[in-house]
Amino acid sequence: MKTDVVKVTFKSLLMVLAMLLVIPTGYAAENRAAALDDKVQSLKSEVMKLNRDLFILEEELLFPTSTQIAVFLSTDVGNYFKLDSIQLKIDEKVVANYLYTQQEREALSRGGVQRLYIGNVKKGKREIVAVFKGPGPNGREYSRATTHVFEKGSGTKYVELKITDVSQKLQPEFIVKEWE
Amino acid sequence: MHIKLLDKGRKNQRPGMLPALLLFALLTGLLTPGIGAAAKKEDNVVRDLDYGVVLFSYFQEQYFDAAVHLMASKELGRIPHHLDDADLLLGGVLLSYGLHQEAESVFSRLIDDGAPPDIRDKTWFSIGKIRYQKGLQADAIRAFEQIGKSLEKDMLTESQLLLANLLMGRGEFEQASGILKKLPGHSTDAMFAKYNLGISLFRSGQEIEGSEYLAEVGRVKSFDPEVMALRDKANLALGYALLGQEESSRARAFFQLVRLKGPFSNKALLGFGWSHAMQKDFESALTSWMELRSRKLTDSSVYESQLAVGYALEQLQAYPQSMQSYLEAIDLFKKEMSRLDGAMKEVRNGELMRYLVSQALGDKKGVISEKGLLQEVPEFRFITGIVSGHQFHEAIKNLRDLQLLRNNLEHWGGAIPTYKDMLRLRRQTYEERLPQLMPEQGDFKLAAIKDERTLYEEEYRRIVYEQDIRAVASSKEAAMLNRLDGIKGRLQQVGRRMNTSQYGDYENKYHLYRGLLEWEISTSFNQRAWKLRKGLNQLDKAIKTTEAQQETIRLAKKRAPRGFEGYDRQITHMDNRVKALQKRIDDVYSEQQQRVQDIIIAELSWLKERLSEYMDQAQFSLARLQDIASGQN
Repeated sequence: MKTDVVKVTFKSLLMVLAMLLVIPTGYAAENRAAALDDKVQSLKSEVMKLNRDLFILEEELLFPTSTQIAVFLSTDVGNYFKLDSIQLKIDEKVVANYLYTQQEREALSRGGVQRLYIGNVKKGKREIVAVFKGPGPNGREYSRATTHVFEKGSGTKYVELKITDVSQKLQPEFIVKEWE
Repeated sequence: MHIKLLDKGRKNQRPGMLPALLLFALLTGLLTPGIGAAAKKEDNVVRDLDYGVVLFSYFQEQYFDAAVHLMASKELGRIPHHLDDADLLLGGVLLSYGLHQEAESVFSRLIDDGAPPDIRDKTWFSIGKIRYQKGLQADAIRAFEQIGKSLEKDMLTESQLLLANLLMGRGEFEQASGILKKLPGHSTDAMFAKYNLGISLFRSGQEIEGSEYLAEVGRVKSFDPEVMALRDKANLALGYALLGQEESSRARAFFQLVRLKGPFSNKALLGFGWSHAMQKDFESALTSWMELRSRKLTDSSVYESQLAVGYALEQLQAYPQSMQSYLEAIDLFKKEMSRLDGAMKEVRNGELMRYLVSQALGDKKGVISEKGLLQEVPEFRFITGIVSGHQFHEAIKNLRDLQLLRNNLEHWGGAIPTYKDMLRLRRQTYEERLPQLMPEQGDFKLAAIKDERTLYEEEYRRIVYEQDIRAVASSKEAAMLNRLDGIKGRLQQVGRRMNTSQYGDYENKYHLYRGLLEWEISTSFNQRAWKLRKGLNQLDKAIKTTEAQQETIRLAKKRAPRGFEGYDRQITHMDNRVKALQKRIDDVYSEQQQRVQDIIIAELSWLKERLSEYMDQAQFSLARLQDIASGQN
């Protein structure tokens, strides 16, 4: 005797089978979902372009070429120094303090460059001081300051702080490079 | 590394394309997990700082920031050394950010621009993948068919797997099977493809061929959780298929291969019980169903076990226990239906949605942790089945992305009034300083100086023409000349009172000294005249500088208001764009939210319907048992 329970559960078995027999590509989006996805894509694209325009406008307004200074940071693989933090001073005034995450360190070691600071300075001789902190070659806490004097002209000034590994010395090296 | 490759392979290609090639490996690495992580520092030689800034965001999977900085840097001309790479990077960034259409148009442009074979093949691969993800099957197949012989092995394998999936979708099983047979056996993707092919063959009625593929997947040895879950699924499918053909012993063998703690163990236990029940071994069936009934209510199989236990007990003629089991089942179904009503209410009032979006916002990729959610939101167990689905995940991701866009526009919406204030302040400062910057006043003074300069020029010419030594004499020399003039006058006055000889001596001395002085001056006349000329030239230069400055002020005065107006217009335009986009985002957000709610409500309704059906069934069975107990049947 097959009871009603059997009928119900057998129906369930067939449903399980039907569910299993669905190809799990998951990409067969319905029309409505696809139309919505198109709308979202279009909005993302427009907001992105608006951000580009606002980025440019903001720079022009807040940091005009004649006074703009941007300080960048790049690092080597980091065998001899693990960057934890940086303090940046321009003309003895602290303009940036930054703590690094592991993800940021990895992005830097893969060739990424961080725009650490963007601001304004007047024309003439300026002094930049960067203090790098983090474990050094022997794992001990390492703090190193680098000073650089540069001439701010009428154009944008780009300064790159560069941490490189010097294999011969088994030490990190902190370099300041000016870009035109 | 770069140089080596250039020498070996592509001497004729554009110099910028090689870093681009390496970059592509990097980009496709993101599409193919693992490769990107292996990217080395030397592959990313940054020659423009802003390009490095883009990579910094990109490597942290901050695709929106990366794309914005890349587009702005390109527009500002700040990445002159990476123009070739820029489009390739942009395509990759857009693709990672989910802008498939834009990414495809960037990649297509690269192909149209005549990319070398390596780039072209990889670009077709990316385009094919984009189309595949968009469900554009025919277009995806066409893209994969364009791939030549320069594609790296991993990507080639992936493209073949996707092509096989697409062919299955069109019912071209033989071709799909042919592709799969040529591919290396046990990769995760290959296993998925074989599973898909097995299922497809099954669905098309070719059950024997389908079983072979499923059995292969069901036997695979792996510790990869994805592959292990797929293995369970293949064995489960085979088990149920055999159960449908009433081959219970064979079915049981496949159910036994499913892991007891895997995601498909509930369904396997249910099927395992049925394989015994079919052979009238209700005791064994009861054992597996009792185990299933004791499990958490996260799966429809657990609900079904509530009925199955009652059924097994009934078959074993344990009527009181069977009745008790049905009563418990009815009570459970009632409670669960009430909880489902509560869950539907929470979905409709947006509570669950808000929670889901906040969870998705907390994850970089917008993935919702099922485990965490089950702890936080008990109702979530009703929808675990759909949450793991691609469609639901994409919908939640869209909501998360829209919320991030909202946050972004909110930031700009707050910044724009500041820009307006700043501009107003600058204009005010300019207007206050304007009276001090009157080039017209300067013009008047300059004209007087120029007039004077003309007089000096004329005087200079006269001096040179007349060889006027007095004009070029120093102040000391001029004083001496004056003194000699005085001496000459006095000699003429007193000369008559002197004797001739004495007068002659004085006159000779006077002529001697005058001659000496004039000789001194006249021999250096040219040098002295040149100094005068030099002075005049310096004056000319100073006049020109002043004129240029006057012109700059004049132009600034003319342009500044236009500049202010220009910025004013730009800021207003941006403000309007922000507001218009905010409105559109709100609309699409509501639409997307409604869509997700509909999916959840449909799932909950379906579940409620099933529970209602189960309850009816339990009540009927209970009534029948009561009849038996009262001896009416």
